[in-house]
Amino acid sequence: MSAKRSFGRFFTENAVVIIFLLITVLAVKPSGLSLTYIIQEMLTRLGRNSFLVLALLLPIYAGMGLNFGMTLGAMAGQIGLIFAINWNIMGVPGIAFAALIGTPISIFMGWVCGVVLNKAKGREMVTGYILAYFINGIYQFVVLYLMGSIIPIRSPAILLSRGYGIRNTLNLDGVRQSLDNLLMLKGGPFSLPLATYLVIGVLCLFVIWFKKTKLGQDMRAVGHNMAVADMAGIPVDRTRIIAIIISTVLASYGQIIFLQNMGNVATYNAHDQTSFFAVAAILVGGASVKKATIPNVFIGVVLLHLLFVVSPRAGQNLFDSAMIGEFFRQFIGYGVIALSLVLYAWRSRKEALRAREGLRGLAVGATGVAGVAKAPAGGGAGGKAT
Amino acid sequence: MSGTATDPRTFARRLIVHAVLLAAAVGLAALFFVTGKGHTLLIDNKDAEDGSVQAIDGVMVSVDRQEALELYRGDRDKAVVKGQAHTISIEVIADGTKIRKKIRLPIGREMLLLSVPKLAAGLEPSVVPFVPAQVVVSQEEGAGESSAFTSPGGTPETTIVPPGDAPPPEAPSP
Repeated sequence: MSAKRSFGRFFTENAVVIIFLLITVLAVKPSGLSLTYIIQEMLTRLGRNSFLVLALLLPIYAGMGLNFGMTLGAMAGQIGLIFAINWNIMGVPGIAFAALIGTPISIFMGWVCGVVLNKAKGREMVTGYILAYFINGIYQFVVLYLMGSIIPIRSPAILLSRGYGIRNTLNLDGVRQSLDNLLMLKGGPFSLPLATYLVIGVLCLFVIWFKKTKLGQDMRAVGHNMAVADMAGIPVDRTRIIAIIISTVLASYGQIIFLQNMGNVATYNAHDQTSFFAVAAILVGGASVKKATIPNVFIGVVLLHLLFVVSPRAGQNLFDSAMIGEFFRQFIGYGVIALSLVLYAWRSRKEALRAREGLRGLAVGATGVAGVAKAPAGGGAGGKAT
Repeated sequence: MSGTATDPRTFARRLIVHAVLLAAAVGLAALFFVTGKGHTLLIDNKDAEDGSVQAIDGVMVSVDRQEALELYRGDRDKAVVKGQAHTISIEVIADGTKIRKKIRLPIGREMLLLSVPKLAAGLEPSVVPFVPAQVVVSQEEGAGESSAFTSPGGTPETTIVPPGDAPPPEAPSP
C-alpha cells in the first residue's frame, strides 16, 4: 500500500519529466537519426541554451515564479549585438562588447520589470508575459525608427535602404560561434564548445554561491513567505527587484550566447520565443513554479531539445510530412507549460487540503490552547497574532 | 554601524564605487573596441600608380595565420582581420623569397588597400584607405524611391509649358 502510494507520489511529482521522456524515447527510433548525430546536437544545444534557462532560477528562488519578463533582457542583448555589428567589432571582444552595452539596458529593464511585478504580487508570471509585449513595442520603436535617425548607425549593411531602422535579419558573421570556437574540444566524432561550457559552469557556481550569501538567503526567505520575511526585517520589494534585475541581465548574456551560436538574428522577433522555450525547458526538467534546481536546467534542456531534434524527422518518417513534427514541437512546448502549471495548481490544492485535514485531526486530538496555538503556524504571520 | 543611505560617508563611498564601475565599463568597452575592431584588407598586386614599383608575377600572401592567398600580376583579393597590428607574410613563387612585415591599421577605417609590391619593396605608404566608387543616383532615380505616392503633396508637380513658349522640335537624328 505504502509502496503504491509512494510510487503515485513520485509519478505526480515527476509527471512532466516522465511523460516527456516517454514521448521523446518513442520518437527517437522513427526519426532514424544516428546516436552520434543526436549526442552532438545535444552538446551544441546545451551550450547554446543553458545560460538562458539558468537565468530563470533566481526569480523562482524569490517566489516570483517563472520570469517571462526575461524577454526584456533578450532585447537588451540584441541591442548590444546591433551596436557590435554596427561598429564591426568581431570575435570574443564583439560578444563582450555586446554584453557590456546590454548590461545597463538590461539593468534598467529589470528594474522596470521588478517594480511592475511588485505591484502585481501573486500574478507575476502573467504580468511579466504581458509586460514583455509592452516593452516589445518600445523595442520595435527604438530599433525601427530611432536607430539610424536619432541613434547613429553608420553601417549600411544593417540599415534599411530608407536610411533609418534596422534590417529584419542581421548577419552575425563577425561574432558567429566565436565563443564556441574559442576552445573547441574535439574527441572522435564529437566537438565540445569548452569555452561556452566554462561560462555556463561559472554561472552555475555563481548561483550556488549566491544562494549562500545574505541576499540569497533573503531571496529564499521572501520566496518562502513574504509576510514572514517582511516581519523579519527583509526588504521584500527590494529583494524581489534585485532577483529580477539579475535574471534580466543574465537573460541578456544568454541571448548573446544563443545568437552567436546561431550566427544571425531576426531583429524583430528573435526575442519573442526566448522566455517561452526557456520556461518550457526548465519545466520539462522537473522544476515547478516554486522550486527549481541547477540539474532541472540541464535535464530540461537535453529533453526538450532531444524532442526538437527528433520530432521533425519522426514526423517526416511516420506521416511523410516534416510539418507534423514541427506541429508536434510547438504542441509539446505549450503543452508542457500548461501541464506543469495545471499539475502545480492541482498539487498545491491537494497539499492545502492535506494540511487542512491534518489541522482538523490535530484539533480533534488536542484540546483548547494547543489546537489554537498550532493552527496558525502554517499560515505564516498569523501565528504571532494569536 | 554600516551606515545608512543618508550618511554622507556611505553616500560618498557608493558614489566612488559607482564611478569606478562606470570607468571600468567604459575602459573595457574601449579595449574591446580596439582589440575587436574588424577591417577588410584588400590585398592588391598591381603596379603602383606613380610607377615606383611593379606588380610581382606570382606571390603567396598570408595575413597573420590565415590561409595564404595566391596572387598574380594585377590580382586583388581580400582578408578580414581583427585588431590593429598584423603580420603579412609574402612568398614570391618564382624564387621562393620570403618577406615578413608588420603593419598597423588605422582604427577608424574599415576598408583598407594593401599594396603587396610596395610592402615587399619597403615603400610607404603600403596601406591606404580604400574608398569604393560611388554610384551616383540621379535626381529622377531618387524620386522614384521616395514615398511620394503615400505622403500628401509628395508628388512632384509637372510644369506645363505653353505651346508658344515651347522650344522648336529638334530635327530627328539619323
